[in-house]
Amino acid sequence: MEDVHRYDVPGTWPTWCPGCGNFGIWNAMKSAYASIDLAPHKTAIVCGIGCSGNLSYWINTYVLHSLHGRSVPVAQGVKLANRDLTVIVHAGDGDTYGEGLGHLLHAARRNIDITVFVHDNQVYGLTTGQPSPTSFKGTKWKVDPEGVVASPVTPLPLALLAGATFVGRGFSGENKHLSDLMTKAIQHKGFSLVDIGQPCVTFNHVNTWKWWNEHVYTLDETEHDRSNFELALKKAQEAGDKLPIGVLYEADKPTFDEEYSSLNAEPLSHAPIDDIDVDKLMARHL
Amino acid sequence: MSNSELNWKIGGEAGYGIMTVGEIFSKAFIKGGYYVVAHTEYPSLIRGGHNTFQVRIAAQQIRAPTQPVDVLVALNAETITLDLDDLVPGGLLLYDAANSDVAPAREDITLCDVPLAQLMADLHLPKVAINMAAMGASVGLIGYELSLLNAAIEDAFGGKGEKIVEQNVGAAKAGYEYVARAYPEPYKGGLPPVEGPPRMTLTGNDAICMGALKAGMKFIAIYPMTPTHTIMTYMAAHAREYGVAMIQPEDEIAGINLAVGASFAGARSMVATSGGGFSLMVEGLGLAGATENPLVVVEGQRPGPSTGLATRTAQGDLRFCLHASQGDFFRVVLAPGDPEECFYETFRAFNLADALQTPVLVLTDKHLATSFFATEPFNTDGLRVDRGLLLEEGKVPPDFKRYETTPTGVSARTVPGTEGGVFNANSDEHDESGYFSEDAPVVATSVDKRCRKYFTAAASLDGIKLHGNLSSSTVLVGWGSAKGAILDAMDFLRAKDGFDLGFLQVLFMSPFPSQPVKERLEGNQVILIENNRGAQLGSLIKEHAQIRPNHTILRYDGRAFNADELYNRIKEVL
Repeated sequence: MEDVHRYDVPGTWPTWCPGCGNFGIWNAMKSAYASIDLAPHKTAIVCGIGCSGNLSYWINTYVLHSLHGRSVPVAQGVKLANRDLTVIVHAGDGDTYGEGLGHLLHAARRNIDITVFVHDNQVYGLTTGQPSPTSFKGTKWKVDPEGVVASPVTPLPLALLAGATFVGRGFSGENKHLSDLMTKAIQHKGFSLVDIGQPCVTFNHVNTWKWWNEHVYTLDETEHDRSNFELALKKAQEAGDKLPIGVLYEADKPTFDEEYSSLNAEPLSHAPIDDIDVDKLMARHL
Repeated sequence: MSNSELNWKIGGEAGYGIMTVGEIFSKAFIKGGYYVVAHTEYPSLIRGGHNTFQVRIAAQQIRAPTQPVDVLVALNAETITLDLDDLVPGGLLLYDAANSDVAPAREDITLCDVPLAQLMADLHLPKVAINMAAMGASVGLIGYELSLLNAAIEDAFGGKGEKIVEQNVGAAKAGYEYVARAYPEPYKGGLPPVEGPPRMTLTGNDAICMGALKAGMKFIAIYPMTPTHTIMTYMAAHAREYGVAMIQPEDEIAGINLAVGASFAGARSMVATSGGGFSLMVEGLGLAGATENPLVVVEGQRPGPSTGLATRTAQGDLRFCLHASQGDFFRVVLAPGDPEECFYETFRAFNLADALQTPVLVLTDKHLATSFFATEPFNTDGLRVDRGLLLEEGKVPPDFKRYETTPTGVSARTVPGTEGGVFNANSDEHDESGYFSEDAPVVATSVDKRCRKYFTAAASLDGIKLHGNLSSSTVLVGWGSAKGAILDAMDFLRAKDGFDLGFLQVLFMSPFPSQPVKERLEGNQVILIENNRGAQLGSLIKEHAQIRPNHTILRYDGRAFNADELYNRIKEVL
């Protein structure tokens, strides 16, 4: 039997609000780890700052709980230094699509083999309810009484166009589906983005559990050709009434470390450095 | 009778290879046993701006530029307009009268009209080759060895194939031979090669790269920014040979966060930038401090604020580097003063970063980073890589706590992949295991732990260097690249006026060497010398050693001190 409890941090329990979508993501994450039997010391999770990032406290792996918006660069650094590690980002929509949107697109175009899970609750929770980059146009908030003027960021098409080789959407309320999706994303070789619908029961009164349950539908994986970029782009742009969950796109392309020759040898983190010769460099300046 | 010292300057339009010329000309003389200091001045333009390279050559040790120049090479008319006043009375102007619409308006100099463009046309070489012809002609006028110039040209172009080398050597030869016929008498009797040990033609940036590679740096993220962009060039040329990953990130924010991630994973990591880029890195610096990740940051200063003067020099970021980031944590800030210190201190920076598990900032500036200095090969025998309290596989104790409270403030560390070493490197305030905590005593303990490293570092570092007369009651004080001008000004004071002064060089700004500074300065006449407006080192000395300098000599116009200028300014206050 898969042991999900080996990823628990003994003596702790999450501080998320009762009913928070983060619980589903947390459970699915542990199940995904268990399904591939990944030893906790062989993976590193890099978290952003927000309710999503707090997941780092309740999962027993190596963790770098980094900065708001910067988890994607940090994770790339971890992976480049040690390509043997499974490197996963957990960050929020404000994190990833606000402060860190540029980083996300550049990580996608590098196709560095990391997996980014975005807990997309369309709101800033820890700061008590401001609209986020994915909040719908026209939705009203206490800091936006006339309604959000800007259109929402569309992370999935953006990631596809930037070069991500795995793009999917999950929903915290479809736990088995989410866990399977996470497993596929982790096992994918290359840059993966999974946007995860996550109701915030305290501050988001638009995108509630009810709203999500009414709007998501599961992609039929026998019908949808996930290798078809054009089709994936079309599916990724579906918005409003129906939102597909599942793997929208997957492509097998060389990763950054496969193409960058210094990274082809043993991991940088474990290369011997005790006796490096620089005499030949000095000779070139004589 | 021959000469023992010469100041040569070349000016031309950007795009005419002035930078390449500066390195080749410097190397030609370093190969002949001379000391050389060569610096460039140029505006922030790709083409059309006025670029100069000035090469000071001397048989005795020199470390800084001086004025005036003996030989001025004008590749365009603008050089005559802008730089003619730099020539010493009796000096030489090498120019191409047929291609200059500006008549040199001085009668106390010797005009050496060399038809550079015509010579290149005769050889069917592109016009840009006039820079090589001008160097050949200069060697002739100065009375130096053409073969040594040829050797330097070959070093520079060897990688581009024999034909390119031949063309450039041919261009130099044409200039040399023209001068041999038209101006056969060498300037001041000639400047033949002298005896001397082999020396490298090296910039501060080159030396930093060598120090980093020697230290086992495996990861560098660098977004292009003058004056540290040549670190990128150097690393790009050697990254694969040394198994280094050099990443050009989308911005400096990504750069430092990539480096923090790589360091967390166990690779020795570095970033290099200037003040503007470092401004963007500040939050990432704090992340390294909070999570106690080793990191080396090279900050090559240029004048600010904001874009300031992109291609000029300054020492104005000292306070910024000391205080960058919110909250309290300890970082090392050190400031090498020449390429030799750039090499050894960068090597040491990596050991310190690992030993103290905190960022180490290496502070340079455009003058040190990009000028060429004749530098003896480094002795690497005594250099040992020390990774500090890094636990290897199988050595992790069962009760491992990453952030254990210790007397030194430093606790054992694991990297991902190590069994039994799992922990949370947490930017939130945390307890000994890394788990977040807002408990008041835990918070205070954790802040104390990180700050205690100051005393751990201070106990093991000297932080100053004393030069010149150790018992002089007049002490010059400075840091970083001003070191060269200060030492050369001291030589002038000794030779011309019989003043034998002392010089206190502050190498470590954090931890600040309070006691050694106080001991050397207390009761003495103190003359502070800095390349900034705010006398930032002076304020540190007041803060840490309670000493107020008697005199302050500052320069903040984007240029480094000239040794002769500094000599005069020191004499004014003595």
